[in-house]
Amino acid sequence: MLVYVVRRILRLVAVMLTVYTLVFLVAHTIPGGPFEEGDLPIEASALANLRKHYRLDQPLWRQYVDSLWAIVRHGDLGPSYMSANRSVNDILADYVPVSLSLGLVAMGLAVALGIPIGLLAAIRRHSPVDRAALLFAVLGVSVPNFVLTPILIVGLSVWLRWLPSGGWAGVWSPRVIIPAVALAVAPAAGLAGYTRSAMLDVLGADYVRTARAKGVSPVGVIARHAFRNALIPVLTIAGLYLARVVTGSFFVETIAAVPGIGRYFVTSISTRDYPVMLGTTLLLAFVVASVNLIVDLLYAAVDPRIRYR
Amino acid sequence: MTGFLGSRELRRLRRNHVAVLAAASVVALTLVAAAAQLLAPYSFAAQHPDAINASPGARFVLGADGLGRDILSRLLHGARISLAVGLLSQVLVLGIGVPLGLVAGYFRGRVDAALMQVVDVMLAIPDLLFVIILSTLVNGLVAGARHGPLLWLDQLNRGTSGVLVIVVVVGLTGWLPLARLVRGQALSLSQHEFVEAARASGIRAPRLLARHLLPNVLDTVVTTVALGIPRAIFLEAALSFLGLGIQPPTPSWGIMIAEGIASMRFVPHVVMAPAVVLALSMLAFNFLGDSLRDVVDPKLRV
Repeated sequence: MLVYVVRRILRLVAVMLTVYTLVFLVAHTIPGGPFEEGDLPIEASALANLRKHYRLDQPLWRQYVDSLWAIVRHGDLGPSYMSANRSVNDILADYVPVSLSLGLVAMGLAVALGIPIGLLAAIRRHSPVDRAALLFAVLGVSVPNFVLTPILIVGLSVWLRWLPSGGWAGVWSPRVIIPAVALAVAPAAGLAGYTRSAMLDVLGADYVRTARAKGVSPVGVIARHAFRNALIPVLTIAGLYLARVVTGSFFVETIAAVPGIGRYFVTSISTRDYPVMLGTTLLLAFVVASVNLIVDLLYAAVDPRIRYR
Repeated sequence: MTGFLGSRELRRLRRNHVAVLAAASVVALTLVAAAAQLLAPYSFAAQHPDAINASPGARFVLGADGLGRDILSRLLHGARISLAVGLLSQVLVLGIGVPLGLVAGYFRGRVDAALMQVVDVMLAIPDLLFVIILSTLVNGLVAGARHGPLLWLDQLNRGTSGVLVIVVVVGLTGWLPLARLVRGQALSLSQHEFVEAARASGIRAPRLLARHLLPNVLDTVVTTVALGIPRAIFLEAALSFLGLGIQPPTPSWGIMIAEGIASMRFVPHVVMAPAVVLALSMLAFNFLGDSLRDVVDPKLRV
């Protein structure tokens, strides 16, 4: 077990180093960086000062090591190029809470929708319910959220005028509905498909047949014997879908005008504010990788059949 | 061991109505994209100042966008971009994933262990995030090139309105799952007696891989690649949406959606047309890929 944990933590470190290196390359090897001479109508001496301020005058390896050390030691992601006097950490602190609450609502919705749909489909196999669930599973995975969000906004707020078309006013405002649904559909579809096949696996197992044979009621078999065992693999998959909610927020927040980190990230791409872009990437990759690590460790702790290699 | 998609599998595929419908849609999309030049009533870049945001009607079947450009013509040309990226990127995926997977699975040992470590690490990075960072990097490198092969790539990329960089980025991130699947199959196949027999006959390793292992992993390869096409179409639209993909005025469905969103509260048809077309195409490719997978290997079904 200990070896397994250490290996998985090493993998996390390797993932983060890979992302950091990619991200560093983006910021520093692309010619025509932010403070090149001739790009801005600023005197050469002022430009030199700017470069010094952002430590761009140091040798490349020095910058690589220094900024890595600043991140590891203090969690310091450096200054933003575009917002003067604002550090990337300040910007993240402003925008992440909104994305976090939207993401939690979306994940909750995905679990509340996906698992019951998959469960029903497995119980009523080959019925119209099952076929509808399978259709939903492919539909939800196929329709990108930058397609779904405008369709929802045009349908529900422009045509039917039921909901506001965008903005943010906390998780209890109806404004949360469209972005949360748009984010939740893909993970809900994935969870539905996964729950269905996990349930079908379990329903075919010997101990379920034994339970039926000794006269447990059909509802009891499903609730106490089948569903509990099917749920373990399903919940570990729920961790994987976090990545979809995280990256989905780029589009959904931009389109539905939610002031979260996804929207800010998209802005930082177009303004070439590399430090913000890179800080966000590092943070998101770290969140996804650590959630996956935690889920895997929990899975291993819960299910004694898992082999630790 | 059967070869690739025997008659029994094809018969089963034909009985599946969803698969037939999806296949027909994919064929229709391909034909329409190939004939875009002939079918498009207008040039994709022609602006009609008197028809800005025009509603669907006799003159513009699907209406016109914010610059007075015919939406139908732009959709048709956008289909070419989507399919080009979808197919070309899979060539790269095949070219990297299959040889690496076969070699790793057959020879095992340190190379295999190292390769799978790399694959595991890269697979742990969220796909879209990876693609965004990589395409920023490749776009920047190519656009800033002053000499050497990168300059040549830059010219090719400009000539194709940005398709080249998308294909490279989607290909470079897409081979990972394929390599892992092929490696797993090669690993188990190499235990079989027919491989032992081939080895005993003194055949060289490259020939053994190509003649004995490759035909037996083709099913997996085809289904994985078939499901790679909608991924590539999605990523092209996503990158273009973010301004990292196709360069305007060349139309891409992703750009059309991004442009339509700015005015969706007043003229919804401008965003709805590309949104619906993209969703339907993704559906067709995903249904086809899923059905192929079910037919080839029912155990893989999720």
